[in-house]
Amino acid sequence: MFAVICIPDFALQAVLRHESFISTRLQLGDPRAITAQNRFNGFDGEETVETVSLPTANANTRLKPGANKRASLPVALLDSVLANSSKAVVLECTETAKAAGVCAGLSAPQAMARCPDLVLKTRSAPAEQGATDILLQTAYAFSPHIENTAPGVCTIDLRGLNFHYSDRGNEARFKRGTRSAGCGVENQRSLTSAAAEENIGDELQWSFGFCKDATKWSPSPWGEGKQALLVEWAGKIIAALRQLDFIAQFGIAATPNLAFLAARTARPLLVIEHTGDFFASLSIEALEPAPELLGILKRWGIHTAGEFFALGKDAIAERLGAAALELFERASTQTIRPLNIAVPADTFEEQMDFDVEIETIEPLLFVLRRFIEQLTTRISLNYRVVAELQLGLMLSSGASHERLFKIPAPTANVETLFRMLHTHLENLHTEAPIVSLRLGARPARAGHQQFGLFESALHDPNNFHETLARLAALLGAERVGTPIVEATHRPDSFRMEMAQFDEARTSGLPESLRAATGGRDVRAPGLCLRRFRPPFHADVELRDGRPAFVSTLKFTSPVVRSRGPWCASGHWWDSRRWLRQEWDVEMRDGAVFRLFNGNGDWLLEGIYD
Amino acid sequence: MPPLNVIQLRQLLREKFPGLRTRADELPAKTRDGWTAGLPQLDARLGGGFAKSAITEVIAARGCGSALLLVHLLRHAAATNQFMALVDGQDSFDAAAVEQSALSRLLWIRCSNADEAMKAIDLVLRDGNLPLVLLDLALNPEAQLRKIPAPTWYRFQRIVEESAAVFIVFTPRAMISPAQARVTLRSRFDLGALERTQDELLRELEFQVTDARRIAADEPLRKSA
Repeated sequence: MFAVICIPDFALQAVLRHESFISTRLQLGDPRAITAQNRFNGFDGEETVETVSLPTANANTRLKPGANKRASLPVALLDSVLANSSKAVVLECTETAKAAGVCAGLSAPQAMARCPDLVLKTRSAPAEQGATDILLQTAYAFSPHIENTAPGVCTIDLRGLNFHYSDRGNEARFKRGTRSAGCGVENQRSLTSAAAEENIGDELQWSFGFCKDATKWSPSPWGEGKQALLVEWAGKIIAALRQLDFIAQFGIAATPNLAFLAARTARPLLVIEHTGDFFASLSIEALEPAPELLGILKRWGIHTAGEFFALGKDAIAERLGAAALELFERASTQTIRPLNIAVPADTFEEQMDFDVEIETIEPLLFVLRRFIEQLTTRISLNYRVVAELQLGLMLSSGASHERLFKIPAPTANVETLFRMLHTHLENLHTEAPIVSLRLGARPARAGHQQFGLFESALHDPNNFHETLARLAALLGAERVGTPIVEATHRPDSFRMEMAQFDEARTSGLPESLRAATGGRDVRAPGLCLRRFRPPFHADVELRDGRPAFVSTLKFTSPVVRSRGPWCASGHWWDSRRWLRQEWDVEMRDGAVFRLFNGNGDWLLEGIYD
Repeated sequence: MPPLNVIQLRQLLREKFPGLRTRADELPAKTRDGWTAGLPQLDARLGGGFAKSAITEVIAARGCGSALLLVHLLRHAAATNQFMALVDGQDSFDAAAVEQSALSRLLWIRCSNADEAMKAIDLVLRDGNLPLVLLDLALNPEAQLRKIPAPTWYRFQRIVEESAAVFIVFTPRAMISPAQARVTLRSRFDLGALERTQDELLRELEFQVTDARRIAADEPLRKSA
């Protein structure tokens, strides 16, 4: 058993997916209006659903109920090489454009003549590469045996996937068994995991409903149970791709080639159980014969694949030659070609080049939210979460701004990730406008934290680090954090480090602090000092070598009592040399200050309190 | 005719909404969890410790031992495995006075004035991750403290109510009306205190505690004064 995922008009869908990051939503004015884009037209039977923008033949974009707009965009995709010349030809186009008379092969002026409202787009290699990554990563989430068959086509080997019913009613599960070579360990995944249910659970009903209708020409020799499982499984993949703005067609058959033919004719799912029935209805053009061969077959009155195969292999080879024999073999149910197993890239990245230079934060945040939604969806499909975000901004001056965000508690929560970027961008001032945006995500397994009865832990580390970022933006990074006292005798020597409240760093308190006294260090001497930062100047009058009168800008007072001097020095061997003479002085009002004389200048260092 | 003062407004509200409590002293006594400070003389007066989900105001003049109390609270929180935040209104905290193991549980926010401190404490309280939050305004000049709008403290009270945090504010004078309790440091230390241990000094700390009902009752008097 093999399955093929086919994305029709792949290049066009890849380009339109990128366009949807800005154009569709900007037109709507509400970035959250669309929750699941590019729904299939009419599958759910909701005739009242209002639609805008038709990216592909079968697709449209569904708005939230109540949006009373209906529009469609005729879009054609041009070859990027000749895009700027009149010789550029249409490669693919939407159904709306086709309805207006546009078809592949027309030049751009010809297409515009037939459809004045036609929107011309240029083929984009990065967009297609990104789309290929998405397709493979999505397929890999469902099976380890996948093949990157062609652009927009992915073949999945279903052998080794044990479909079974779970104990919980009719909940469908599939199991990646020990027979799955290359898997390493037995790995069981449930399609009905929380993520899958949350993301695409509502699509299943639609998928079932359609497939019952679609498979009417192959009435279930496998039994209703397994067929239903297959349909549900395929529906999840289609729904997952739809979340990523791709319209996919899905075919399941006994051989890879047959599954490919099924996928190309599926709307959107076709399970071939009886090949005879399938070929009897399959047009001969679907086999893509050479034009000469097709002409011969048409003249012979052969219009379907079933009629072609009825000629017999030997007769075809004898009368039509090697090309026809290759065509026959391609659709054979006896030959199973080995798959060229592909491993999808482990990088998750979205990138966009802006047509207009970005000077304010709002458009940037708008696109970033979409990026995060897409990235988290892709990563969640692989049962992982985001551990790092890599933000890249290309400026019009040629410079770039790169920033790595380490997620304290890896998560797939869009709001949490978005807030991190938002906080950073709020305080970012670039020297030039932004022309390109890139956001990468590094996936990781979700961490689990066990809260202890007697150990405290941060309940929301991500929120805490978000707060730290806001505090750093407010006050400066050097004024927020955990103090680390330097190993020196120089007073008030410390450095600030970013607060990292994990148990590994904070455990292991000395026994003196855990004493029954409640943690008090009974050996610590005297009152504590409240420091003046920086110390301020004082005029000190000495009597018998001791401070007798102190005058500052804030107060003037005679010294009632004093202690000292305490001399200290350090770093006498280098340029950081320091030398001081400290005094503790009590003023007439009872306040006790610390004075010191450094390099002949008297400074008030703090008040004891 | 619109109410001319707060008394008329309360009367109007009582007439419109019978049963409405318009004064803090009419509120039913709430039983709150407490966080023990590790000082028996203070915990006893506070009825078990500093109230969680509420503001406690510690009023301390110069030389009363407020820095000593603050350092003790940091050590005590660290000894009980708590994380804490200190919003330092005048950047006066002496980090060298506390052991590094306790400092590793401290988020120290060094502000240069009361305005910065209020913005910072707003963020820290909204975060809700830290069980002990200290705001030190003891050294801030009176001119800065006067600029803090009174409703700000009510807003903080609403935020703290939603969490289980202990929120302690060190001030030079009474200024937080919605405080659950007001602790006034009555002790006075002179130069000789520098020659004694902190444990001895902590035992000598004298506290006067005023609860919320008393604070509410005193408030009109203080305003008129």
